[in-house]
Order: sequence, then structure tokens, then C-alpha cells
Amino acid sequence: MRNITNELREIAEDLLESKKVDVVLGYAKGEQPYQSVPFAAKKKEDVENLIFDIFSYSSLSKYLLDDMYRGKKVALVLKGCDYRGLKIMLDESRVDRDDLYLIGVECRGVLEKSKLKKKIDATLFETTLDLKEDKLAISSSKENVEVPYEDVLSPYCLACEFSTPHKEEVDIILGEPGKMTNKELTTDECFAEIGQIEKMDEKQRFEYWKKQLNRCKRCYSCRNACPVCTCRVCLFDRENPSYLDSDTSQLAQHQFYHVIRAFHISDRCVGCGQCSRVCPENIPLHLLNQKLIKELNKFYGSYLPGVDEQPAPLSFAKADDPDPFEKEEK
Amino acid sequence: MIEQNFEPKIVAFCCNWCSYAGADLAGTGRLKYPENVRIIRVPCSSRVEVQMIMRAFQNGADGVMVAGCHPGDCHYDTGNYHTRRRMMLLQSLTSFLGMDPDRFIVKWISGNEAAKFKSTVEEFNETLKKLGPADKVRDQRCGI
Ligand code: SF4
Ligand code: SF4
Ligand code: SF4
Repeated sequence: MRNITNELREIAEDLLESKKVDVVLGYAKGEQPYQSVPFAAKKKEDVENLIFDIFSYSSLSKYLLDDMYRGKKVALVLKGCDYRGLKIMLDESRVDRDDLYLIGVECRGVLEKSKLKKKIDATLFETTLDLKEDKLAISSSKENVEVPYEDVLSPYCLACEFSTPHKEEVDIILGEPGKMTNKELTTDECFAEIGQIEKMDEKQRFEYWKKQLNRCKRCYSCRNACPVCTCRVCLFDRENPSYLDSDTSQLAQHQFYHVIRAFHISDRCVGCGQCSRVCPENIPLHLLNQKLIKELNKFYGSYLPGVDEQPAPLSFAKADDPDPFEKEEK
Repeated sequence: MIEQNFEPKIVAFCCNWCSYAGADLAGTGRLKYPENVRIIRVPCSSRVEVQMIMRAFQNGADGVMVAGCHPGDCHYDTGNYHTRRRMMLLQSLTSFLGMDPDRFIVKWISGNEAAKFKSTVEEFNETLKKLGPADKVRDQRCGI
């Protein structure tokens, strides 16, 4: 991935110097060894901060909705899933393609911090990570371990079918095609917990989710980070009617929030996994999203939001759709 | 513990063109059906949003029913097809979260099916009586 960083700096410098763009939105090294943060390069000197690595999780396209970037020419670094999110925004005319310069990257997946944590005794802060050919070397004062990437990559990345943007639709693509892991995993394998939850009886399922959802602080990070959750006024921010209050001791309110969040994303989720990654409470939101994707695919055929051109499954409906509610008619 | 003589509260979202007319006919025809159903008239069953259903549960409903025209008979041609897709997805989601799926039903009832309206509500009422109060999805501060 080091070469992507170099290529990126070159192209960014070029774009800024030639005034083709006002700003390059990319990533810079964060404070912690396992963290990259969004970074806006506005002048030549900023360019050397730009990087791209397996911690470059966040989708940057949502920043385009910020007033700060309105009317500006912006260059954007995009992984496959980021492009899908942006594509939905473009299709909905939320942003104007003419204002953008799109830098696609060949993505090999991003690390899942929570999986990484389980692999080591030391805290992540004290470790150094070294990316090797097919393994990740983790070292700290306490230990030196090597783990295969499939153990620490985001489940979404292991199931990713679209890791690089279409070359006709972006202005340039950086990096070379390739995978972090040679293991072929099906979506079901990557999200095996869904099967386990489905097998539970209703009471166990309820208890499982109660334990998860009751930790929610309703910080709305999951909503804010999601590249396809882009309504200008979210129903949870509305004051009249106000749907939720600040009391986070009520399970019902958590259920309300999570059912609606998952449902609103259902046929738009591009599978970036950011919602689960940003959750300070490690609530496995991805299981809800993936469950809905699974159901939609089962009933209405497979559909990849932000890739497929056909309309999204909840945007139309047909007379001969399955009817689970009433078999006998009239 | 299921309390004795528990009378479930039912919220029924009824489509203006069919099911509401069906309920109306049941009323004018003096058909007796459980009184504990609160009918909310909507212009089309596809008007019913997920937040309306969840809100009803939070605020005291023990069961929610969405009723629309029979598929093929929608006043707006395809409204109830949309209802069907969405409600099906909602039901999978709530059931995945371990909320009783039987507390939420979708029915197609036309304007002249007063008897079907009556029997649907009666059956639903019986189911809910067995299930007891919907505490799992209730905002406990509501005091109902
Ligand atoms: S989901 Fe795909 S494109 Fe997105 S970070 Fe993972 S591998 Fe890359
Ligand atoms: S990020 Fe986590 S804690 Fe915050 S609102 Fe979402 S689920 Fe709740
Ligand atoms: S719901 Fe989660 S995985 Fe899906 S697009 Fe939004 S942030 Fe990404």
C-alpha cells in the first residue's frame, strides 16, 4: 500500500498546483498506530501528510454535504465501497460530478480494530503493526505475533464484491489489483453470527439483542458515519414530532432507533462496515444490515446498491411479489 | 405472568378506500367486534411508516394491524404492493430482534368485507390475549 501513498501525494500535488481542485480529501496518520483520520489537503505543503493504508476506513464522500465544500472543486479518495456510497449521492443529485475529481484506489480491505484487539494481550496503543505479504505482524513489549489477514480484516471486506471503483467512472485509479487474503469466503461465512441468531428461539434472540442494544448511548455515530444515510433533516433530529428523547435507559427507545436506522438503510447499504466500526459500544450493527440484505436478496433477487443500475428493491413493487401475509386471496 | 382479564390494545391502520370502509360497514351493520381497537385512517396502507408502527408499540399498543385493499384493488394501483414489500422486511427485522412477530399483522380487507374485518380483529384480539401485554417493546415510562 505504500505505493498508493506515493502515487496519491504526486497526484494531489499536481491537482492543487494546477488549481484543478481546491482541496484533496484523503487520509492522514492518526495519533494512534492503528488509526488513520480524514484529512483535507489544501495547499502543496499539506500533501506530504496524505496516506492511504488499511486503516483508511471512513468514507469521505459525506463531507461533500458540508456547507464548507459547497461550490468548491474537490478531489476525493475512494475505495470500492466509498464509490458505491458516492454513486448513490450522485444518482440522487446531492452532489455534482463536475465539481469532483475522483481518485479511486485498489482496495484490499481494512482492518477491524475489534478483531485485532482479541489477538493481543497488550493494548493496541502499545503495539506496532507491520504489514507483510500474507500476514500482519504485531509486536509490543509483551509479545510478537503474526496473524493471517482473514482473522483481522473487516467481515465486510472479506465478503466485498466491489473493492475498486469502475475505471470509467473515476478520473484515476491508484495501486494494483490484488487481495490481502487468498481465502475465498462466502457472505454467510463472513457473517456466521446471523445464522446463529436465526437459530435461537425468540426469547434468546430478544435477550441477545437486549444485551447489545442496551449499551447504545445514542451518540448517532453510526448514523453520521454511514455514507448512504444522507437526509438533510433526519427524523431523529426532528422536533415536531420528536420521536426520541435523551433518555437512554429505555430499551424501547433503542429498539425504535435501531429498527428504523436499519430499515432506512436496508436497500441502500453499501457494506462498508463503518457503522459497526465507529460504535463506541461495539454493538454489532452490521448483523442487522446484513440480515436485511439477505432477506431482500432472498425475496427480490440480488441487488448491489451503488453498483447495479436497476432500481432499489424498496423503490418499486410488483403484483406477483410473494405475499407472506395472506395466502388465500379474496 | 399474564394478568387475568387482560384486554389488549390494538392499533389498526386502515386504508381509507377499503379497510376503513370495511370497518365502517361493520359499524353501520352493527356487527359486534372487540372495542379495544383504535382505528387510524390513512390515505393508503403504504402511508404507514415504520416509525408509526414502532411508536404505537412504544406508547401502549399490544398489537398493530395494517390493513389495506386486496392486492390488485389498490385505489392508487400499486400502493399495497409497496406496503407488502416493506412490511415483509419489517417483520423479518423485528423477528430477528426477538420481538413477537405475531403482534404485528398485515391484512387485505375490502370495503364490503365487514365480516372479515370483524373476524380479523376478533382473532387478533385472541392471539394478543394469549401473548399478554407487549412489555418488550413498550416505553416503560408511558404508564399504561
Ligand atoms: S468493503 Fe471492499 S472496498 Fe470497502 S474497504 Fe472493504 S475491501 Fe475495501
Ligand atoms: S454508534 Fe453505537 S452507541 Fe452510538 S448510536 Fe450507534 S449503536 Fe448507539
Ligand atoms: S449501514 Fe453501515 S455498512 Fe451499510 S453503508 Fe451505512 S455505514 Fe456502511
